[in-house]
Amino acid sequence: MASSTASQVKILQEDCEDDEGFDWDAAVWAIDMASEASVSKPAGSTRSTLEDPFRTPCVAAPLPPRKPRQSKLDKFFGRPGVYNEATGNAGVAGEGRVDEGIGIRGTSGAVEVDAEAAKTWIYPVNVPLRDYQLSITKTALFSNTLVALPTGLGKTLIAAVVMYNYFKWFPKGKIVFAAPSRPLVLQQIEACLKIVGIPQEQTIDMTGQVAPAKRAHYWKSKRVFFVTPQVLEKDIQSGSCLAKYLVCLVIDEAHRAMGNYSYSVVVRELMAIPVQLRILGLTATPGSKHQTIQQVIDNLLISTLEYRNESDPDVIPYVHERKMELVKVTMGKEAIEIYDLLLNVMCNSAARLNRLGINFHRDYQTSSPQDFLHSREKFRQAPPMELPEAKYGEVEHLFGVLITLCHIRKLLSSHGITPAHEMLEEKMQRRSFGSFITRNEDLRKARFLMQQSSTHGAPNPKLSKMLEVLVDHFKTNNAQQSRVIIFSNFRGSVRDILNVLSKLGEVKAAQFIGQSSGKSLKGQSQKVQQTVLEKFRSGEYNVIVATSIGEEGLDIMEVDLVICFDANISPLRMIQRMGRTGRKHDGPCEGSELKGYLRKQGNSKAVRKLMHNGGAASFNFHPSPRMIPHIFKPEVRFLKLSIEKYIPQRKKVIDGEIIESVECKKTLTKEEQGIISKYFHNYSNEWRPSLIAFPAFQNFPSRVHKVMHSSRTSMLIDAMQNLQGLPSNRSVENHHLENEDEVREDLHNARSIDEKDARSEEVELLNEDGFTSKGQDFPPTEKMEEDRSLHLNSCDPSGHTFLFGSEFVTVDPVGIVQILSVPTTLPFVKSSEDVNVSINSVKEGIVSSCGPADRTMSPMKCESIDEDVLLCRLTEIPLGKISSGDIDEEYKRTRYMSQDSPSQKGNDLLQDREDNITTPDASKLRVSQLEGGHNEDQVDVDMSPRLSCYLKCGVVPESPVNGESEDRDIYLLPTTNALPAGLCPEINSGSSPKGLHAETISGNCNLGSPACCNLSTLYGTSKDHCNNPVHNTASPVASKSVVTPISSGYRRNWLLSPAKDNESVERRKKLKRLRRVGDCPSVGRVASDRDHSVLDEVPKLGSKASMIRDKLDRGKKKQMSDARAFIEVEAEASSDDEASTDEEEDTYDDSFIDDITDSVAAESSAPVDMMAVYRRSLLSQSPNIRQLNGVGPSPLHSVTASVRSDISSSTKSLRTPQSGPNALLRDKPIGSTINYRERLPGTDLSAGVIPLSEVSSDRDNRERSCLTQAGHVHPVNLYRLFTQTEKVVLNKEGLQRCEDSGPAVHVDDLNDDLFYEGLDLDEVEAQATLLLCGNSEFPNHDDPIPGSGLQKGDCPKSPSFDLGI
Amino acid sequence: MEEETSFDPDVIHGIFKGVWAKMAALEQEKAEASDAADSEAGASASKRHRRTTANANALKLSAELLRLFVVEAVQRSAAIAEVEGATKIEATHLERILPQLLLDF
Repeated sequence: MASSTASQVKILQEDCEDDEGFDWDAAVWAIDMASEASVSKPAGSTRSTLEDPFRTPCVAAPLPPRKPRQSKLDKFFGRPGVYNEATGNAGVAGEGRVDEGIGIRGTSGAVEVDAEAAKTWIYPVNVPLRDYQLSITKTALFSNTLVALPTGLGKTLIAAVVMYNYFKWFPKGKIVFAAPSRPLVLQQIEACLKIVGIPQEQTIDMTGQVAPAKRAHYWKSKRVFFVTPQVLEKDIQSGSCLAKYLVCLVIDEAHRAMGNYSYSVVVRELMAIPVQLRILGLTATPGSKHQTIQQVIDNLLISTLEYRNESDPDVIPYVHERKMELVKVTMGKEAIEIYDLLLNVMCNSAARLNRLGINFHRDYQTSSPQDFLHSREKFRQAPPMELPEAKYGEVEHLFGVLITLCHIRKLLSSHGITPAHEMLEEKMQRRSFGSFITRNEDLRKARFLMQQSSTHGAPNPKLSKMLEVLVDHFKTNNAQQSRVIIFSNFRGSVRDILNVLSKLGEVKAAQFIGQSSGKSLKGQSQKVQQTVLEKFRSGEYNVIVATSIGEEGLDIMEVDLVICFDANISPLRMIQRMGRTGRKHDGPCEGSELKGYLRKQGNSKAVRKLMHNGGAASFNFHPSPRMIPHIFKPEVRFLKLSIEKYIPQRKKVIDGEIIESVECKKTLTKEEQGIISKYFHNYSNEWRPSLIAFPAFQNFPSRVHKVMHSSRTSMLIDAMQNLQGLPSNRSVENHHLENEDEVREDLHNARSIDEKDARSEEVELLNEDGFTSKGQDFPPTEKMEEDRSLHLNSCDPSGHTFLFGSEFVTVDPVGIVQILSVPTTLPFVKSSEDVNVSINSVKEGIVSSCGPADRTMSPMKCESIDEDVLLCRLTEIPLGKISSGDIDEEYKRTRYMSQDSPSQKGNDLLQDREDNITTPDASKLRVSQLEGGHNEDQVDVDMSPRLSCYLKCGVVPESPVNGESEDRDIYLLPTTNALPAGLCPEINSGSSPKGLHAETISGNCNLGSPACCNLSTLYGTSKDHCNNPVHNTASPVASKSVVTPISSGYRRNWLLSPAKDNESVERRKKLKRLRRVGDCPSVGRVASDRDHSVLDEVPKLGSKASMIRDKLDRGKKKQMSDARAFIEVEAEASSDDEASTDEEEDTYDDSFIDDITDSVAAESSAPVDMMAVYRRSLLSQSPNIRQLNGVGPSPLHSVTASVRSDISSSTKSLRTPQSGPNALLRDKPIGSTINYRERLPGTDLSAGVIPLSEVSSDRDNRERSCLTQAGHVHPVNLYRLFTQTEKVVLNKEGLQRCEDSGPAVHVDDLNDDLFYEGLDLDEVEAQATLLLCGNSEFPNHDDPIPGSGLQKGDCPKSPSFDLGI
Repeated sequence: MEEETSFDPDVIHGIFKGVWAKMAALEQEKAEASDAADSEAGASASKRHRRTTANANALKLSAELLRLFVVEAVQRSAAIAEVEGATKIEATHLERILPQLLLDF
């Protein structure tokens, strides 16, 4: 036997992982003892014979038959050797083995007994030994035990020792300690770990706050669980609790195991699995009745009842002296009065009930609400036969009243008037009772009295008495050391008590109430409860006012006074309440209500008798499994000794482990934390990464690994570039010429270009979308056009996104939206133009950006018209280079596209593209030229010719002049167009010379609209204002020019004075935008058949260009005129667009249509349309212009051809203009659309450089002139001037931008993003409306325009725009 | 491979906790100044000073984000270092990419 056990021990040893510090001596000794004593009977399994327990299977039912259970026990514990030995080699051995084999592998295979450990059971002696604890522990180890110990006598220690031994015996077994509330769980885990050395890493507390998934994890990884029964129940049901491994279940406050409380459910579930385990119930108050105790015993399958009371001899020495003081407080007079009144009411109601045939067997005066409830229940179940059903309601009502009154009386007696009054008021809310009260005299009186007393705050005698007691207590006890708990059954009175206590200086009181929130009072969350308890322990609070939740289990050592504010509670609860004190010190308990207390005391005495002697005679116990094989017979005595020897050591070790393990498991160890803090601390001291150490590295995007740069990074780079090297070139130039915005724009453009390349694909996709939309909008557009538009779009979107960043992105959508809206208002042009324009605008923007820089950089550019020069400029400025490169690429693309497109359109497209491409260059060149001219003496030269022209024009009536000027402008534009159409460099050069020539010649110079503008401006400046205006108007728009001239004259004066820089910059930007817009339109034209749109754009461009030119050349005067012209142009354009779309200029439309019809002409036609629009606007402004326009339409047709011709040769354009206004117009529109565009960009650029100031000055001048000219117009003028010029520009820009979305936005952003953005939609709409009205209005305006009237007319026009907006 | 191993959420949690605790301590200092002797303050105060927490997924995500951040920082720094011909990433390399890196995250 010994050998067998030894072998077993070895085997088990291997399994055992948790026997550190095991007392091997003791174990060996225990083994010997076990082998000697062949049969051991657990103390617990008193009733069952050896055989019985083994054969009785476990049953899940609350009252399981013994046999099944025992058989399971058998299986559970049975081990081959063990069984043999345990049964003393009786014949049972074989049978036992079989059973055991099954058992081990079946039910409890996982739970192995550590044979070494099982030879002893350990009782810690680090706590002074108490005999009763030892004996109870011994009992509890070997049978399911219900321990009924008075409070404060160390039930927890018993549980801890039992748990510890099971922990040791079953290396893989799980032990569960269940306590009914979270605070108790936390308290018990601490207590248990303090008492015995269960390693904390094996321990976990789990409440409902731990997520089920986590709990499941813990169930697997931990061995000792402190849980709430609800958690246990849930986890057993869900299967996450490894119930089969459970070996021990400790149930705290076991008296709760009634009915369907989780305790009962848990045990039932476990038995159903089935599981062999030891159950230990702990309670101070097993129950007040035999019945309830029996229920607990049944539910928990208790086989032994260990009961001690304070008078038991072995307990007495450890019971702290506890004084019970009963303080009787008589109710106040008022309270008694009310009490009686309420009684009267009850009498009446009861009497009525009696009359109805319901009889009370008891005096209602003393009956409790429960009595009434019983009666009502009885009535409901068996209503008196004689009572008609109609009366049922009345009976119910009376019962309700009685119950309520009863409750109120109770409140009144135990808690005072205030709570009772509150209760009454609350009940009053309910209609039935309220009506009853209002009808009842006595009740009304009672209510009145209560109201009175509670308002004048008559102290509740009980409260005042309690205060006295408290004060006395704190007098005799140190307020810091002493702790007081005040129990009250009712939250309302808890609050009252708190209010009273708050007046006591030395009392720091806190409430301690449950979680549920009532109507008036909020509950406390468990966290709050915890903090309250913590602070109570630490002394921050020395008084707790608690409801029933404070009654159980709270182990607060220092409590030396417990006041039960209402003693009329069950003895069980009184015991619990009293148990809160006297744990460490002797302390009094005070009850304040006698009534009922004595009665209940009597009850508890009776129960006590029942439970005496283990209750063996009174209760039916259940057999309990023997958890430890019988071979192991841990002996108490010896174990005690061994414990004395070893436990302390182990304790120490384990304690150390606990601390460490806690830190390890929960967070970082102190060491690690120290390392981290040290590391970071030192690191921060020694080295802080600098963000500004390498600014040069922030000028360009750093290489990325997997995370791409964000928009913020690109913004940073932009900013850094602005602040540093790159910006330096540009910045200087920019500063000279333009604002920072422009520089940014340039940067943006450059970036956008780069980005465009990178994201071209995406952009293309976007473009496709745009195209689709565009295509829808403009069915006539050819594939080629679409392709172009796509390309353009693709370029544009990318540019947009990059340039504007996130904001820009938003802009893009906005732009799209706007585009959408625009189409509605301005059907074709905007949508199609937007996309197309966007590309163009981008290009233009780039060009412009480069151009300005170039211009600013060096006059050389101006001189050198060739693309190479431009490129050089671009190269000079990285951005410029980029732009140029992009432009080149774009050109190539366009060319490719054109090549790709087999259709005629392809050629056109190619041409257009080339034109577009060239346009930038040309524009640049032109711009440069313009700038150069402006800056240099060229301007003067231009001025002179133009002046001459202007003079001529001026001499001629405005309309004719306008027409001429228009023609000239148109011619100029065509020439420019022609230039772009031709080889870019050549064209540019050619155009520039031409422009110069034309300028010198007389308005014919087509060097581009800018040149014309310049010329016009020059003329204007040199010649009379009137002349200039005329010329100007002629170039941009006749009407505008007309208006502008007048204003320009004024403007000149004004403008010259005003600050050119800022305004000029802004205006330039605007102009650029406008130009871009114009370019965009042109592109749009090219791309799509939207002749109208194109036309509109062209006019815009032209107007812009003219504006710019004017600004540049004449600066202020021209700018003014330009601005007006722009405005007008815009309006006109819009109107034109509308008109063109609708009916506008028949001729134009026709021409447009024709152009459209002409595949090649599409683009050109669009330009033509633009021109026509301009013309129209001019015409509308002036009859002559109209005539011209009328001629224009035909030109449009011719324009398509002329465009080609223009493309083919710039000279044609020049010639065409020269040949005749109509032809010029036509030629210009067609070929010039692109040229215009180009020119426009160029003009824009030039304008951007110089014009801005001029524009600003122009605006000012205009405004001033307007003011001077027409006082009434002043505000309008101002508005108009600013708004018009700005808005017009803005609108144009905005529209363009919107349309262009990308480029426009860029420009806008750079210059007046806000304005544009804000204005764009409105402006667009306004423009649309204006355009709609514009035709009519413009003519009108035009009529007045001549002379000062023109200005006025402009003003009105502008107002009309505003109004339209 | 990189994707599969991330920081240990527990460690991240520990760091977070440390930060939160510091923040909470700072806040509490402020709060305690104003929150004098209110008998019920304990109740409401404890609610206010409830500790910041993060659930498991948030921690995982945080760990992944931090991993990406670190990887990116190292790679970018390495790129800089490579360009400079260095075989060891120095603080200066990090500093060069830091501003943009921070903006990228």
